[in-house]
Amino acid sequence: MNSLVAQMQAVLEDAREALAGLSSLEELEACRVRFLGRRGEVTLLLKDMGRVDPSERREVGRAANEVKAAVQEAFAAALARLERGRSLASGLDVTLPGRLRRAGRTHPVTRVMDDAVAIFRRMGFVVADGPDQETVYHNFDALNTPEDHPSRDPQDTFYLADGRCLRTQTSPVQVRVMESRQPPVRIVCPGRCYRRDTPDATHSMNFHQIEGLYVDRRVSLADLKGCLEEFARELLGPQVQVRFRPHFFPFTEPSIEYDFSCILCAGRGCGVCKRSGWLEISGAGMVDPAVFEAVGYDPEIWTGYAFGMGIERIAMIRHAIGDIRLLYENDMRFLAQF
Amino acid sequence: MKTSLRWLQNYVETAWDAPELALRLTMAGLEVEGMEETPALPETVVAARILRREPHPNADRLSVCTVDAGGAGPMAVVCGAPNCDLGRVVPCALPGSRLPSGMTVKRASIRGVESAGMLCAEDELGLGTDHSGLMVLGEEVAAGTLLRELIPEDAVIDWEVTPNRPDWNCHIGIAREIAAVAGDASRFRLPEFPSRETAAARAGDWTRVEVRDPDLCPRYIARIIRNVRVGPSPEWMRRALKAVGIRPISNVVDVTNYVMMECGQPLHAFDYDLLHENRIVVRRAAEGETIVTLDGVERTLTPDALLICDGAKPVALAGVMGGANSEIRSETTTVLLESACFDPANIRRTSRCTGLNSESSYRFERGIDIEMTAWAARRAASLIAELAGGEVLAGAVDVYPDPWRTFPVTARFARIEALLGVTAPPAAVARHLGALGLTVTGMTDTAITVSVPSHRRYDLLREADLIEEVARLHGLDNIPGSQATAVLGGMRADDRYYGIEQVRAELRAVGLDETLTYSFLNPASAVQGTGVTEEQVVRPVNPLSAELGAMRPSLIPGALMTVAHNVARGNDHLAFFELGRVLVHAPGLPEERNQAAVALTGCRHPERYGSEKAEEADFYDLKGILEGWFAARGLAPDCRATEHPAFEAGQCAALALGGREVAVLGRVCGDLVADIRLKHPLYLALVEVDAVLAIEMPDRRHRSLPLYPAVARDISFLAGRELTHREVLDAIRALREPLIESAGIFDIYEDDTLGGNRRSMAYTITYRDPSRTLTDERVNGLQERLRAHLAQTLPITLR
Repeated sequence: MNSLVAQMQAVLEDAREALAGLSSLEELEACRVRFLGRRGEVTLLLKDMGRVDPSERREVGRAANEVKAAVQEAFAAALARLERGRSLASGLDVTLPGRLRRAGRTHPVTRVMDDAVAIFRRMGFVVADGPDQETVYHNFDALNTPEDHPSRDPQDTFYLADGRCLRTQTSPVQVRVMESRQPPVRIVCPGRCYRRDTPDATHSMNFHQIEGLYVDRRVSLADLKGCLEEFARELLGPQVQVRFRPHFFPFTEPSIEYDFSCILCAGRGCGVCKRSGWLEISGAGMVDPAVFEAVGYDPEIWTGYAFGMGIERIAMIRHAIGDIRLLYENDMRFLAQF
Repeated sequence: MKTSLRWLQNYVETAWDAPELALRLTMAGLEVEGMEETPALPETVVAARILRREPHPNADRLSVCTVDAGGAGPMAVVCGAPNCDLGRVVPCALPGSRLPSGMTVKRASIRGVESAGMLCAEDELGLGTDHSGLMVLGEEVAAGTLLRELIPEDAVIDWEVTPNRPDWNCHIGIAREIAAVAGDASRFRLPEFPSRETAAARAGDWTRVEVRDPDLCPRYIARIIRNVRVGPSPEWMRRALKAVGIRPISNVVDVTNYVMMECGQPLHAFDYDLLHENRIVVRRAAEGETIVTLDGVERTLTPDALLICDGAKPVALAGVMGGANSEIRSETTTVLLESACFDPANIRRTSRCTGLNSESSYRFERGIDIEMTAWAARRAASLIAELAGGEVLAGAVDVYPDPWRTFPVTARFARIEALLGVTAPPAAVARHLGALGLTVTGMTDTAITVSVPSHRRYDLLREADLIEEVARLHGLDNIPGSQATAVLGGMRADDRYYGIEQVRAELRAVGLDETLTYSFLNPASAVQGTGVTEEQVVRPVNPLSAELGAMRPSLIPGALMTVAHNVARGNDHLAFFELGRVLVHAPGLPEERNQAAVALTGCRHPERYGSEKAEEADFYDLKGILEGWFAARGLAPDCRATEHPAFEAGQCAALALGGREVAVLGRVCGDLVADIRLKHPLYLALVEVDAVLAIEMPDRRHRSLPLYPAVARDISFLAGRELTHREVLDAIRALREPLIESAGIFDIYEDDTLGGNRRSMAYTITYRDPSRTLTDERVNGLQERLRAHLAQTLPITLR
């Protein structure tokens, strides 16, 4: 190999080594003067080209140019590396807090209500609506509630000056719907209800319910159970089971109370379910023929089921909330958790 | 499958016109692909024979024809068609004819020659689209024959026949369906005709048929007609075939096609004298055996193909196409007519392997009525004798070793009801099935049994098939949708939960947390800041306590309580809403209505640092929240300053949609929050949600995106502080300049040096022409006009 080419290779190695150790643009400039300046090592070697044997000049020339290009490339790479480093050093502190565009939170009661409505809608129920200020007829009489039934007592129900009451349940909406249309009917009625309960950890003077009603030919208790099982699994998880217990309500016959298996202990028994493994949810049953007669449905043709449930009760189970009053305090630190 | 209405009427009594027929059968499952109606021709269009043709003396392209139109004598007609040749019989419209094209023919002088009528092309009579020359009628048509007798009013319907109903591939099948849909099988009848078996000779003595593969050819019938004269068919036959899309060839071949279109049985006519030993052998092809089919192509076969052979060689590819070596020629005198039935799968395979599709293979592939084969042979022989002369030999050779036998199918009424969801009284079921021509052979309280006729042997096999027929004839349209499986309870539009749910989602999306407060308020403070009077408040007669004696008439008190509760606990930065019902007894107001309260206090970005961290949310933040919410609904509220008991004077606004006030917002009065240790001003909005939901969603049609660029120009001026932004926008709008796309404020500057309570306002005006790029010159002109307009109409000093 021509000695000049060998020298140039050596200079290239030197340049690469020198560039690798650089940490500032000033050092880079010094390095450029050393190798590529007017009296730089590469420049000087190129000047020696004149002394090369003419027979070798062509080949040596090409090698020399390659080396020069490689040195320049190494300088460009070093420059890019140093500049990137400088940009990084002066960049954003990306760990500072962002400018929040926060979406608001849903109240846990509303979330249960929305979920329940969505589940029942998927089962073919439609939402029906009625007033908070309800007639005694719709709230009690049409629902077959005996005159002397304790739930009518002013101890338990708020009455208004005009003789109406604040509805104690959303069932009167069912009555209103049945009065206005013929079966088949498949509705749910979500809404606010009022009972004259002194507020404590488990009682609230107003609360929310959702009630369902399905009237058709050949609707059976088995259908009711299937409906509530489906609902429980959709709302609280596939492992939840439903238990029916005989009960009495004036507006259903047979009447039942139903429980969900405790989601907190998976039915093994815990404090929340009082060691029973079951959480009492609410009441249901097959619509009493007397209710059908009150609204003008022929009980020989139509059968139907009705059910109700308290939304706060389910929200409290879902989120393990021990005091219903927390739901109406609106402490943002509480609400932000949902 | 094309049918002619007039043709169909040979077999079925129906008063339905073509559109009615199309609709009725479509509803019964036979869809229409197309329809062409032949109009009624006027009485003044007649057949005319061209007796002489001479060039027009004054026009190169015209001829003067002397024609016999059956009238008083020959008459001269000027004609421009190239084919007005001597001897042709063509339609001639006499003066006064109003043609279907709308033109009225008059006696007229054409370039100096009197023309007594007009010779017509097809399109001029509304009979087709051909305008290349005169329409040529058969030479046997007598001069003077009314064309409407020759070509009566008709309608051709092209049916889309489903593969399950091969019986629909002929006029008789569709006529049967018409009778069934009309509910009366007796409206259908097979045509009657003479046998014309005038020869004493018997077909059985003239030919023999040997079927070696009866599995592929379950039935083969040969009939013989002798002394025929092959020639063109009469006009009615040619028109009938053309109408249904078949090219007329010769009287003998036309009859085979006509009968196929009539009853669905493909037929083939052989020249009897070209058949070696005058006999027929039906057998599989040998490997590599060849046949030249009628289209002149030599085809090499495998043993999968079935051949019709004579005593020596193949003469037809069974069911697909005849052979060239035995076809009917003009000199043919004796015809051997084949009416046979072939295995559908075999024909399908042969058709696919050879790439040959014919009307014949199409029908054999789908299955034909094996019991019509003999009828078709009789019918065709009779027609050949009628059209081509000749005598039909007595009898037929019918190789049918295993005759088809009908079978019963039973349907249970309960099953019909369960499947269809309608009541199915036995009498009605029997009526429907009877209308189809099925014979009821058994009827109990619970089920009906019918025997299946041969034309339905492929598709009526099971109970479900009969139930389908009942459903078709009952009318699928007449089965009411069962409410039990559809939505019960009402329309989605009646479901008010949707609207409320949506509003809640929209309010969350603009960054507001949801709260819920009690419905019961202290009567002492229930109306504070609400604008509601004490008399309007709803009160339970038996409240839990005096302090909980009022039902909320507004969501403002609840929102203030939520703020108080949170601020007392150090939650200073709040952005929340409550959506709920409020109750009031007030004239003109509903007893119960949905309101939303929105509260905003604290800093915009407490999570940030430096001066930004301390930026307080102000009036415009709250206004922007509401505007953002409304924008999500496609609504742009009008805003004006107002006063309200809950808000500080001068910091309160009302928002209106469509002229109706739906919200009020502002900075909450000091008195109302005196007890709350607020660190930041509290802004509150009260929205009438029911009113917002009642507003129809605006037009949701999109606007095309602009094709040309916009040009922006700024304008600024000094104005007194009392001039509002709104007034400036209104003034710009009042110019009604369509090229102004938008106007937006970009700066407000207040400085003592501006003098006397004045401020500087600066706006960007965006101009855009939807149809071209705006030039600077044009925009300058527009901008000058706007400046002049504003200076004139507003108390401002332009800068």
